[in-house]
Amino acid sequence: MTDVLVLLVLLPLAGAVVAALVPARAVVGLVVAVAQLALGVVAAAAVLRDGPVLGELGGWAQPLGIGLRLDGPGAAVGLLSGVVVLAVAAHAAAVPAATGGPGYWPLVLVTVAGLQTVLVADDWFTTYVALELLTVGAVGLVALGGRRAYEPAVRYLCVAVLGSFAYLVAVALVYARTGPLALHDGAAAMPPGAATATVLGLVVVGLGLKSALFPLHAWLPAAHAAAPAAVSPLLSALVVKGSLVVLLRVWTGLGGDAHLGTLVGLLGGLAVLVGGVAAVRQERLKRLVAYSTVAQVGYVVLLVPLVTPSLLDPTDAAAADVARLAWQGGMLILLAHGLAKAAAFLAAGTLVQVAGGDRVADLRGIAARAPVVVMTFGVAGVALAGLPPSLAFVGKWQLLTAAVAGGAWWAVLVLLVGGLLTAAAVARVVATALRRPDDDEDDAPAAGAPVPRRVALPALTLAVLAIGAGVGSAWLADLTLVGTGVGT
Amino acid sequence: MTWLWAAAAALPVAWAVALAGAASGTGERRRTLRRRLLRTSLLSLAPALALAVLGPAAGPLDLPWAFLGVTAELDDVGRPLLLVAVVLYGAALAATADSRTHRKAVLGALLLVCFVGNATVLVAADAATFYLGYALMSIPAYGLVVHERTDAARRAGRAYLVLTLVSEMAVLAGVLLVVLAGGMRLADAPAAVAGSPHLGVTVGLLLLGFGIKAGLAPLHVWLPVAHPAAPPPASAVLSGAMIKAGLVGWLRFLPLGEVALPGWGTLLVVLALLGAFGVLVPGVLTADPKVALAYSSVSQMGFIGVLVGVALLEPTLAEACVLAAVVYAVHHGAAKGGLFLSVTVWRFHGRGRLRVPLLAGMALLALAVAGAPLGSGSVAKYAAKQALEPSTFDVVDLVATLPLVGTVSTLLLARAAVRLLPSTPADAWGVDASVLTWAVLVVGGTVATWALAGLWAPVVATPGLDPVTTWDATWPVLLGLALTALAVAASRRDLLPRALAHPDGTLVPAGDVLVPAERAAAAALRVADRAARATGRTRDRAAARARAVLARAPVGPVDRLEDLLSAWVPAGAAVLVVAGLVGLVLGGAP
Amino acid sequence: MIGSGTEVQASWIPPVILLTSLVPALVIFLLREEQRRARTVLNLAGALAKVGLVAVLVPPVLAGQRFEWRVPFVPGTDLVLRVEPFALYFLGLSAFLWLLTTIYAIGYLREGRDRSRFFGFFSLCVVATSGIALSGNLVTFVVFYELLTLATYPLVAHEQTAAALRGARTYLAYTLAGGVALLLGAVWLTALVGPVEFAASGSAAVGELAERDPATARLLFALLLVGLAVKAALVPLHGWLPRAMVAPAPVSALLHAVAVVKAGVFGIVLLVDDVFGAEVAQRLGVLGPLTVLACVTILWGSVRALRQDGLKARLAYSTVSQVAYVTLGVAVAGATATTGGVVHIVHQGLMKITLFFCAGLLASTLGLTRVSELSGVGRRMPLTCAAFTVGALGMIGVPPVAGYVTKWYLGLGALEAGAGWVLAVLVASSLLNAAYFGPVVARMWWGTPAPEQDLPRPRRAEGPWAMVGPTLVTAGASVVVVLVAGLPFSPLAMARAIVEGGAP
Repeated sequence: MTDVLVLLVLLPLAGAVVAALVPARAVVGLVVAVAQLALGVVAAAAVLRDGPVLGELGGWAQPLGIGLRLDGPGAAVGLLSGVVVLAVAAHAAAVPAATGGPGYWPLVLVTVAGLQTVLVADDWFTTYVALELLTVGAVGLVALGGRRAYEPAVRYLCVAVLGSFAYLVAVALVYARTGPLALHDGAAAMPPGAATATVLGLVVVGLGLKSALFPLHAWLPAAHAAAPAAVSPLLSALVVKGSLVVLLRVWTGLGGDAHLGTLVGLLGGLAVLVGGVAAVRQERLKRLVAYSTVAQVGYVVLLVPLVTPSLLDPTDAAAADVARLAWQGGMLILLAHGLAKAAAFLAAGTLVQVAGGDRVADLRGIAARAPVVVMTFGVAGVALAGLPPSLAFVGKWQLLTAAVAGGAWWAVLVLLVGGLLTAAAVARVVATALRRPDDDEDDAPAAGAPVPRRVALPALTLAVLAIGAGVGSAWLADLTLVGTGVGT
Repeated sequence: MTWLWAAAAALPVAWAVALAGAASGTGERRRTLRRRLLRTSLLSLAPALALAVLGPAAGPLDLPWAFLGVTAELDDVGRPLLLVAVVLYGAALAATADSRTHRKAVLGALLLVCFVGNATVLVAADAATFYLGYALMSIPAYGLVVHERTDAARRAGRAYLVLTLVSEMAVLAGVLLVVLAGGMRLADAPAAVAGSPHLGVTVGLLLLGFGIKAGLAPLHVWLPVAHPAAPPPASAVLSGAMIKAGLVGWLRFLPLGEVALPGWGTLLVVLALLGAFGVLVPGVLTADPKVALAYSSVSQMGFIGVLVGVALLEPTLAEACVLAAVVYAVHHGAAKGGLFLSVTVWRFHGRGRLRVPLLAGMALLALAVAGAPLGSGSVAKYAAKQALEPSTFDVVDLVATLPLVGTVSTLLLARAAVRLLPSTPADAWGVDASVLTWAVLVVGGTVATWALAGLWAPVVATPGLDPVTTWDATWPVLLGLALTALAVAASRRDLLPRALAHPDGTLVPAGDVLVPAERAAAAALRVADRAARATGRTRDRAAARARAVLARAPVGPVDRLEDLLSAWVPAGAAVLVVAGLVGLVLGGAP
Repeated sequence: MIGSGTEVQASWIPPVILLTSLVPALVIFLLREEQRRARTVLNLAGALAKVGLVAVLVPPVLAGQRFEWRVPFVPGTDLVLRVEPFALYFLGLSAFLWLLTTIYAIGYLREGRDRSRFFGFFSLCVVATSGIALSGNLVTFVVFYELLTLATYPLVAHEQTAAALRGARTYLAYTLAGGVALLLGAVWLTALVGPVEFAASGSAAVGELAERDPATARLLFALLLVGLAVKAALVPLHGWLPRAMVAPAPVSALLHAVAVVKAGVFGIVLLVDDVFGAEVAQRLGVLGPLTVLACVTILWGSVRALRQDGLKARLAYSTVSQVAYVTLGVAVAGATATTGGVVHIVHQGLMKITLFFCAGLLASTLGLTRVSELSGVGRRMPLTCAAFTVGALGMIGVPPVAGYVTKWYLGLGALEAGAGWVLAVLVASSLLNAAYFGPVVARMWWGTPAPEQDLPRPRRAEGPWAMVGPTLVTAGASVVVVLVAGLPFSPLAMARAIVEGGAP
């Protein structure tokens, strides 16, 4: 099993190198994507069966070598990454215009490698390195968007570096306190108190910047909207999730902090509301979708204040139940969002291309020309809004149950209102797309060529997966708990 | 003999469906089919006739699988009335087939459906079946009333429908109360009602509901507008058979003979008397013979109402009163139905060799209705008198008063005759089915009641032919005739104001109190309409305001916040925070 | 409702029932617009398979057998589909009417656009309805309830005009907001007492909760009720229904008779009888206000219907009023009233679908959509108008059409429960029903057509047989179901069995 962990990291790296050299880049990308998905399935099965998988990179034992450890959340996000990357790659291969240039394939593979490293890294310093790798790939991908993407890309770079810096300082602090480089069990060495709070604060600020946690999200809509059509899905579905997973890992590893946890939860709540309202208000399609990501990040961090009581007092059985439910719920929302948002961005990209403009108003009547794509967007929207039977609904159900059981009524309110806001934003787009020109209007857009199936299908598959995965998703919920120590 | 019962219900329905199916279409074959169906529709009543003749020998009907459980039997109340209904509907169908009215097939189909409902009311043995029949009869009859599609017919239809629906609902509520008290089987109903904790409400609802159908004043208003508007065959069944359903309802459900209800009983008697005499005024002031006939029906039903009222007052008299009421209803059904059909028969055949026989028949019917000796009316009135003799009701001397109903009838019928007889058709038709069935009615309305009263209801004493009895029956009629003669003489010599001498129905319009009621209803509707419109405006304004508020309110600040955050400031702030924290920690670290 | 003497067995039957609609739905989505025959075959095959399946299941289920299928939904909570009498009852209605509506829709849309999308979502809508019927616990119910909202949106918006999209938006806003209330109620209840399985006389755990903490139990009841009341169109949450009238006729028919509105009242029946249990609800004192709410809805819907000139709008408000009868039945409680409410689910379905079929026929054959245009139309379209008359009489409660049996049971039940004023409401409602249906019927048959309104003369058919046929079948069925009300598997007998929890 150890080999699988190593392969997970090395395969995309090697792929990136190959893709940079050979002309048939798309083929390389697709092959790696398929292999990646297969590895993800194998790894997830192993984790589900035997618990966390451990390993070393480079053959040295710890503490000198680089420790590898794949836990449940990592495996789950890895699986998500496998599916999303494959679908996006298929789309990109079908629509070269959506890639933004030849640099696309190597950069994608670098980004994937960065994400996989983040997921399997056992210690917090390796994680830092991996995060930087992820950032480099992601910023490069944004910059593929051409001239108008440069400013957002630079801004994203600055923010990401700043975030990494904060994270690095936090890691340094832990190191200064505890010594050993194996930072994954810092909790044992760091007693709760001001120092831990400071470390957590730094991590929240740093990774919050990278994950676009409200109010540090301002870079995200610009960057995701400016990126090429085949890039935005990866950024929203995967890149943001990398830093989020790290944030959650550090939080549970260090045992949390009650006040800071509440603050993070409140920020999450605000993110849901502000992101939701902003999404409804957007005039441009891709910004609309991007703001929904801001809201979704808010959902995920809602689990933080719900998990914290159990971290602080591991003997409290009731708190452990709440923590378990909240963790499953938040992680399932994270996974569901990955699938649905990738589908939504792919569909949005296609719609913008068909409509010839990225304003919502430009989409009027487009359902007649691209029915499948509009349907994809609608289905993805349903999944984003957390309506049954989508995977996000399952997550929302768990999170709601946890919030009710934990007495966090504000979180309940946020979850419910947030869903309605998302639904409103999506419904606005779908209704505009469906709007048939009246008989007395003759400015009906000329019918273009229909969208080919191979373009529409990857996004549709993702959307259907995001909806259908809700049924019988109990195994996935179990997987997200493996090796996290939450609720035990 | 379930099959006979089934046939009695299914055959008319089948014919009705066939007629309705053939009603549209203009081809020659269609027309022939329609004519044949209509002529043969009489046959579909044969099983019902057989049931009426067989009586209890036909056995009861029990179909637990149908509707809410259908049970039926033929008892002393239902059997004679069923017989009358069969004859009357048969006559009406025959008259329809020969009449010149439009859309005869539709009229025939409606008549058949009404017959099934009407017959069900008469033979039902449980409350649910009774209600089923009651509705099945009342609602399609709307089609009979508005058949001519004139404005008068529509107005009559509206009045009929409104009152019928109120009646329907009052009956439903009353019947449900009866069922609640344990009176699902009609045999148990009176006792159940008597023991019900909701006795007052139940009786009140039943009096209201069936009172509308039975033409109890002041709920009678639909009769004088519906009868003239409907085609004569329809009027015949409306007046002869359907309004008897109201009476049957009273007899089946009211706690007659179980408990004395002085309040309700007095109310019923007073209202019935009001109807019996009050209709004289509008009745003689009308120009339409059918309106006069309709008012005469109201008067006669008032007579029956008195009997029921007394039965409510005095349980010991109930049995006799009930039988007297049934006999009266049988007599009136046949005779009044015959009179209504006379209108159409006279209009088509009232010339040539048929003129005299027709006149004779009509006179017979009229005399019977008025209660002249040897007619069915005298039997019925005698029975009533016998029943009421022991009554202790002291508001009015009933035994002395009731014969005067005969006078009222005589006057009303005379009025009808004065208006009808001068109108004779240009070309008379020969003898046809309608004349024959009419003749059956003439015999039925005059002689058959006598025989049947003796055969089927032995409790009722038939009047002897001694001078006292005969005089008792004769003087009211003579009085009426004398008054008529006076009136005619007076109007000839211009002793009366013109409006009274040659009334044309404008002084007291048909439907009397219906007119102000309609005005009040229209005014109420206008007010309601204005109120609704005002409410709608208020709501629209409120909605518009809410939309305006919603459009303004919460998004502005969010947008501004987004603009603020989208500047580089937050990132810079984050740097400061991080730097501050680092400084703090490093500075504070040992 | 699992009564005593029943045996529950794990089975694949429930999901197969769903698949009879789901498979056609998914395949139809993939068909091209012009593959008309394939679509028709798929639609009809699915509908027939479902009707057959339901018919086969009736005897064993009434004899006490239960078929159940579970799959873990979230750890600790299962999705449960269970075939039991009430489920089968609702399922039978939807299967039968779906078959007819499908045939009708094939006729209605014979020259329409986007038919693959239409029939795809149409089938999906039935999947959701069947799922609601089969739900064995609260979570499953919530899932399918929301799915129904989503599957109906494209149907309401089918015309894709500005008006249609506005109507669809209103529909979505109402139902999603209602869904939120339902979700909150369901989550909260689950958090308090664990997964809530539907049981014959209420979930035992919920009963304990009501004992322990009546205030919270009441609040939960109210939350769940609000969620359900939106779809059941209880005043003041009924605003979407008249606006959803922009949908094509078959959709309106399905919405009003089988799917959305019925799902709402079906849920209310489950909420009162199977989640809380009538006794517990009675003790909590929530049934009184529910009765009042139902009565207000009945009257308000009727009063509003009076003022509508659009035929479909009038029918829509009539639905608001009529469907509240079901709520009234369970709210009054007691076996008789509940039987009346439950049996009205089928009765109202048959009658209302007839009326909507007729409205669709009138609109598509003659282009008539307003009541004021219907004068004398009975001569031009006698079959349609006859069917309409049957439906209207049934709505008023005139025997021998089904509606009167409902009124009989409801009225008697109200009296038994000592709520005589409810009977007064029923009477008033019937009179109002007569006041807004009577003129329509009278106009059809006895009205004189306006001279400028040149109705095409007879000779031409009233519409395609695919439309007239189902209309006549439902009209006939609304009489036949009460003509044979005493037979073992009639709706009334089923309703009795459901309420009494035993075999008929």
